[in-house]
Amino acid sequence: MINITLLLLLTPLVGTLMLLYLQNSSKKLTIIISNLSILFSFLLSLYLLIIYISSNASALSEDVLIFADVKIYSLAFGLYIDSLSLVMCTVVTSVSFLVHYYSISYMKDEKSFNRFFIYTNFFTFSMLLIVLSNNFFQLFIGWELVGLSSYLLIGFWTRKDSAIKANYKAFLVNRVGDIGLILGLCLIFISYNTTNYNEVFQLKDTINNTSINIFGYEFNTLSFICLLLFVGAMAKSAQVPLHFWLPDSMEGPTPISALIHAATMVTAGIYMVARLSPLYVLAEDVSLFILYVGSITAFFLGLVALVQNDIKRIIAYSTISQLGYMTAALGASLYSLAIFHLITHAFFKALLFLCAGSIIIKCHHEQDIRKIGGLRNFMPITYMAFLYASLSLIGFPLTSGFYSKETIIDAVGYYGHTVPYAMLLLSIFTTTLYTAKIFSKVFFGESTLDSDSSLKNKENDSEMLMPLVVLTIPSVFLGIFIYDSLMLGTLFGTSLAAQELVVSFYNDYVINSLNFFLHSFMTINFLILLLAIIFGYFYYYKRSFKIELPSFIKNILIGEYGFNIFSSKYIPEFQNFITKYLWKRIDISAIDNGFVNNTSYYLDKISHKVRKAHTGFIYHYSLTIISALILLLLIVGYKN
Amino acid sequence: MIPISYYLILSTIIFTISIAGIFLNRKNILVLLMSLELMFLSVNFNLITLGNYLGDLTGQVFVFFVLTVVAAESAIGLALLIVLFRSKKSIDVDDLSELKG
Repeated sequence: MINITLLLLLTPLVGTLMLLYLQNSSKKLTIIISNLSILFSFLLSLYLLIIYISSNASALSEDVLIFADVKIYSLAFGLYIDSLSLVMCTVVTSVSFLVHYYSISYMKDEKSFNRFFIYTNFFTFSMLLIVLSNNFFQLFIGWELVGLSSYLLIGFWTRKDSAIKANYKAFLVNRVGDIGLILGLCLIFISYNTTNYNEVFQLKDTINNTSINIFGYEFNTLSFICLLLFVGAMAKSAQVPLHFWLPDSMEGPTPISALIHAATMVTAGIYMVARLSPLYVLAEDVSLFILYVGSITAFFLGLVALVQNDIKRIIAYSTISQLGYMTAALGASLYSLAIFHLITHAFFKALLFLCAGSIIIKCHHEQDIRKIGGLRNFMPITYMAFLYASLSLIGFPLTSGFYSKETIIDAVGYYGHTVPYAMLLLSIFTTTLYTAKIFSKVFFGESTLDSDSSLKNKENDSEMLMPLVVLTIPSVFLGIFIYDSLMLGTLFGTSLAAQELVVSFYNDYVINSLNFFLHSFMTINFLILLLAIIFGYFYYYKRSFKIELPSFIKNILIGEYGFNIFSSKYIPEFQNFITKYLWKRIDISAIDNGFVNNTSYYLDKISHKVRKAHTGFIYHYSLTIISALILLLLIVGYKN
Repeated sequence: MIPISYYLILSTIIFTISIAGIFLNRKNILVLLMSLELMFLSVNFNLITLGNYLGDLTGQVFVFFVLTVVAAESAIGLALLIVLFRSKKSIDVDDLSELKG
């Protein structure tokens, strides 16, 4: 099992290295290597998942390679194999494979076609490294490597100014989160003396009773560790207030937005918290904080999507909002529900992005939905795929998104978290509304683009459409397929803590998947959904009435709660101030003038003085020599 | 018998004279070489005196070595002097200040 898992992890890396060496070779070879390596990895993870589940194996944590063995600590590269990591592997590799396949067509006119596949293969490896890690150190390495690949891919079009700014922003915001992560890691190491997950989990109760003193305040060590690690997760999973890099990251190629900024990388934070659920379940105050962060993100950033006009930015805000749902589920200690939503979201959001990519290619890289319109007739397959993905996103009954999202909302309500419950409920309305907005503007209505003949042509080529069709299947049917086993804890039972919360909710409220489906028509969730659909239909499609938002609310939403100006004005200004200070005071004053120039200046001055002693007369020299000798003898004699 | 201190005082006086000769001589390199010679002799004088006083022949034998070296050294010194005179037409010490900083 370990060997196969190792193979599954290393295949994308081998692919990356091969692509690196064959950088200048043909596109065909690049396509074959990159796609085959991911496909192989996917098949292996599927195979492993099936054996793991069918054989009822228990979780396995093994150090494969110990590369630094110090007396008190050893740095190891290890694998953690359980249903959670294998399911994640399957999700990552399957979405990654479909995106790779899709990119063949999407990126076919790119000059640096090969570079793109090097980065994506490398990303898949790094993501698998996080997922399969069995210690915090390896997690951190993977965490940084996905950050790096995200940075490289957002700025893939290196000549595009906005892309470079966006990847810089993403990089910086993630550094803020990394500070939290690395501090948490240090604290874990200080208090547990190990970074292995299992060893940390065994010691968790003893640490829970200790406290640390920071600036004179006492904190519970475990809670503080959880809080610091969650700061890392906040940056990576785009939670308020570290979310503002994600909409800008849409400057990258669309397949990347689907793979990295919707399906996999941004869920790394969710995965980490779920993986560490034995710790988080003990830190109740931190969990409450996570719950509020998640529900605030879900509601308020969903609202921002309503005033956006760039198709990818809307979907990006939708991603942030959906990540908020997952975070809220984590905060309510419903870890398996968070992972469930992570899985379904990975599929339907990747599908949405790939559809958006298909639309963008068709409209010659026009992303403004006010200009696109009436595509329903030219792109029937994209239209259908987008429709199913949207239904799943808004949680229409029976789709995957319905099962994962409605369960989170109902369970949060069931456990009595009133305020988050209200926010999550209201965000059904906004989710539906912005989905209706994209849908009615892009597929219906009039196009204001030049009606050149290419626009009226048939659909995109089949390489682009195949992933859409394939992704539709899990987007719609995966939910009902795994719902019961997931809720009863047979799927993730041993790898996630507090499964009993989900089970008791299931027995009390859900009973079974079919019943949940039938019951849903009588809930307030469905009412809100229906209202939103009707409202969206009349407002965006029929345009039977107009609503003018009060300008200050509109300004707040367009300004993205001030994060826009904050990140594009205040942070750069602050940074300019700091760098200018460092440049003038440190670089020029201290280093250039202080060390370098002053050294030569004073040496020059001293040597001008010293050269006077060189009179050129032998008797002066000999006088000096002899008097020095006498002096030396006197000193030596005096000492003795 | 003459006490040993007389010999040592004499040798010190000769040594001091030779040092003074090096310092105070502003005229000519020949005098400089003579002063050096004198310095060696005073040291030899010391060696002989103390060798005799301690009953150790090594000191007295060592003088021969020193004398040989001194002879060679003064030969080289005189040769240099001749070369110098040929190039500069002078053996004044004051004229030899090319290394002045």
